Amino acid sequence: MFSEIDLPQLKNIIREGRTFILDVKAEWCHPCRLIEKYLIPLSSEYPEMDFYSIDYEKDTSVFDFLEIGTVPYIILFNRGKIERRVRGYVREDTFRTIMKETYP
Amino acid sequence: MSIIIMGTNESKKVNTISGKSFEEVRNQLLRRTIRLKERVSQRYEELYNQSMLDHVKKLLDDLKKKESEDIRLIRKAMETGTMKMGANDSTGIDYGMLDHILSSDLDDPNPNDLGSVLLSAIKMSNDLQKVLSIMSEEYKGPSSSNVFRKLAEHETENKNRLSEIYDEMINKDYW
Repeated sequence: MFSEIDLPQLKNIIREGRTFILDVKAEWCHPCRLIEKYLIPLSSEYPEMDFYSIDYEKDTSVFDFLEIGTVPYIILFNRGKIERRVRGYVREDTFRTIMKETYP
Repeated sequence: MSIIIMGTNESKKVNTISGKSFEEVRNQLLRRTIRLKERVSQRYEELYNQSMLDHVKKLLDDLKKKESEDIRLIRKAMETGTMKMGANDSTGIDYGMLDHILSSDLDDPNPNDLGSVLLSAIKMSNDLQKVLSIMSEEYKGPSSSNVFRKLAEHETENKNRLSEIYDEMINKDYW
């Protein structure tokens, strides 16, 4: 499942202690679109996990909340805790490796 | 809009919420647009020097030339006054309010990271395009509106070219 959420929804998901992938993006951001191109199909390969995206320009406090300062930015959560941060564009094969390492 | 200065009976005509005239605010914004364009141009130069790929160098050179062309256009328009507003040219927007659009909320780019520099340039191009589009809508005088519209179109082209460069870099396994 891949869906777009807002900051209050994100906070709830974290409170629930879920394991999920968060893709922080912006509408103007070309590399964000490139990441989303592989992230959406990838989400169906991990049916047990949720994939979310959040547009920081719709609520700029997203940056402060997540302690980040750029897009694209992917955060891998494990039971509500940040397990790994991926700053900037990464290729699909690289991200697949990161997924395997983070969720063995 | 008019305000009354307290303690006197004097009524002073002002154009914007800050009290500055439209022309003053507009010129400030244009000067800031020039500065931003100069910074963007400098970033293209840095990228140009870093890149080892001829076709990417060519694209960056084209982008740099476009920025210089835009800067020349803005300076000329400011000097010749072709963007001078008539009394009914504007709907009364406070151009100071557009300032925040030009302020990047991203971290400063790492000059040694091509992806970071490109992303910053895309963001700047996007922000400038937004401001210039708003200005082209707000300025009703045909010469002013055309200048801003043309500049906004340049920014859209620049943004598309930057995205192309990003794709090229990915295809060439740059990162």
